[in-house]
Amino acid sequence: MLEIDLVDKILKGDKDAYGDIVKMYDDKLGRYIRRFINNREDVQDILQNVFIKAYKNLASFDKSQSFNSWIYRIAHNESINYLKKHKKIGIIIIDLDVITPKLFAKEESDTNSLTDELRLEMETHLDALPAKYKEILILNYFEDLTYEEIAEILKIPTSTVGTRIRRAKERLKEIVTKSKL
Amino acid sequence: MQETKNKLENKIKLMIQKGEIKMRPKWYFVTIGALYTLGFVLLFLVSILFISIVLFKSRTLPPHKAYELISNIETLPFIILSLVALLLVSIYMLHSNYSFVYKRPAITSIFLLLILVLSLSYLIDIMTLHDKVEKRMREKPVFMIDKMYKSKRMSPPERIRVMQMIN
Repeated sequence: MLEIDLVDKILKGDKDAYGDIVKMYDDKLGRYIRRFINNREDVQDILQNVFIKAYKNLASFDKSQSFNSWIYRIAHNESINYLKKHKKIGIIIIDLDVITPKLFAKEESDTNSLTDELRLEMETHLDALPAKYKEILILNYFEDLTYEEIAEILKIPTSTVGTRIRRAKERLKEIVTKSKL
Repeated sequence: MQETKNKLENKIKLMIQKGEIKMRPKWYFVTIGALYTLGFVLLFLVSILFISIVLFKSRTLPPHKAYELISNIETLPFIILSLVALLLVSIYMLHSNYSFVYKRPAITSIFLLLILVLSLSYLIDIMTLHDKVEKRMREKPVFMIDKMYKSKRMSPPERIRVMQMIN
């Protein structure tokens, strides 16, 4: 059954159907949160909060949008809030990428495909990246989400997604080069 | 792994059944949306009101050209302009969660908003709406509002300073 049909069922009063949503997204979101947070117990708590928040706010879900992006957005916010609370990342007030993204950024960035070796290398150095670059690489390369989905989750223009991925990769390249010296 | 998965699924289902977590009703989100829209409309109108007052004040300053220029600079209500900037940012922040705002670069949305506020303020100014209110305030002052329409008179020391600057 599709998520949208499950959402319909839940909204019509079938509360048990929410269990299927949890089952469907448990692994995916758990893996996503774990990329930000190392503590296993905290990951479980955050995951639980994500499902609680999603249930509480289910009536606000716009059916014309992707449920996947919507629930990922909640997981993203919960993870970022946790990191902010534990002072692992700073608060960004002005982000130039969002104010003036390059217009043809999407075309500038290259393909998604990564070899296993590159993926492993990327994973090893992800923590050295600033949060805004780390999150976008995770969403694009590890969660295999489209630019449009990433834009929905991060609430940024699609063109910014391309620009940010390109910059993140440049930054990652610098880090990898330095580490090899 | 599977055990943890089932554990979470059952825990959430149990919490729902026990009523520990409740779904917020649709009207809750409709009310929040309405409040957001109301806030947006209010901030938007206040921005237009402030900018049009700035335009009105600049237009009704003394006629001497050089004097007018200097006095404009001197009397330009920067506080009002800063307030308008703050209002525009608030309007942007208020709507930055909506796809029609965040899907385009922030600079485009802020620029469009600024153009809209400036054009509407200019429209109000050429319709001489503030002149009519000023006239009415002179005849029938209303608390606080009449103060906004009082012409700024320069004190003698200020006048001497401005004259020295012109010469």
